Amino acid sequence: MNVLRFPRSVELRDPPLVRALFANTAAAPIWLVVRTYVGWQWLHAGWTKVSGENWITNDGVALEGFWTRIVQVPEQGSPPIRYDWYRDVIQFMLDHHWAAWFAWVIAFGELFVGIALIIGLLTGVAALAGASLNFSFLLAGSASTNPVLFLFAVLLLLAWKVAGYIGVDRWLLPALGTPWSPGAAVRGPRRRDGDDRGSRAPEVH
Amino acid sequence: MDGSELSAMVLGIAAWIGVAVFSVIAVANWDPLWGFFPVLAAVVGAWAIGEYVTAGSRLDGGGQ
Repeated sequence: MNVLRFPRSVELRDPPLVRALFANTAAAPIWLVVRTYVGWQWLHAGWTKVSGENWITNDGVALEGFWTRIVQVPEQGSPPIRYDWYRDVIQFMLDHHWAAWFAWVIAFGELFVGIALIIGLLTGVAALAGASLNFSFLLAGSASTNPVLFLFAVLLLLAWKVAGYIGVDRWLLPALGTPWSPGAAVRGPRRRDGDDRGSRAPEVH
Repeated sequence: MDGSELSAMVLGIAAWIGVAVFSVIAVANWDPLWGFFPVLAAVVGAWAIGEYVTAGSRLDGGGQ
């Protein structure tokens, strides 16, 4: 009797187009434009909050007002927040008066995400932080530019190896490496016996 | 990392730090639409500096 057997581990290679876009430094100029646009949007949003009134000043009254509005459930029509668990989270933060410090986290988080994306500093991490912010705003019922920025952030996440190549990541990623292939800065200085494996910039896979 | 690679890295990162400072100045002073283009130009300038300083170095694949 034949038994259908599946191989336990098969590593499937990405198609050439995917590798060309997400793993080849030749595509870095494309990601440079994408991340500059997304970064500029975040920088502007963060700067508006940092320099404006009632966001990081006056105990975050603007954020508290936003939270108060979105947790309301109208008698008719749909509430801004569709998921009860997320409404509970916002209500919890409201009840504990977290708006005063959480407004700082959002405002400066947006500012730093914007700068990091523009200069290509840990682009994948910055894109993940940006996508998290977009996701939170979408859950809160605020569409605005969030769907488009979220899409771009996901693409930047997929291209994390090369998206910051035209930027600080060109030097930072080889120095830091990855958890499965630590870079020179993590592994330590060059060994005296002539083995310079610790100082060579590793390929980031 | 030899001296030329180190100096290339320092110059390249300095260029990008300059872009970061310029971006903050741009967002504080210019319109959100038109301010984007000077920032894009600054980014391209830092790219050119990065290419120039790493040309021929091992970081550019020249020693591999």
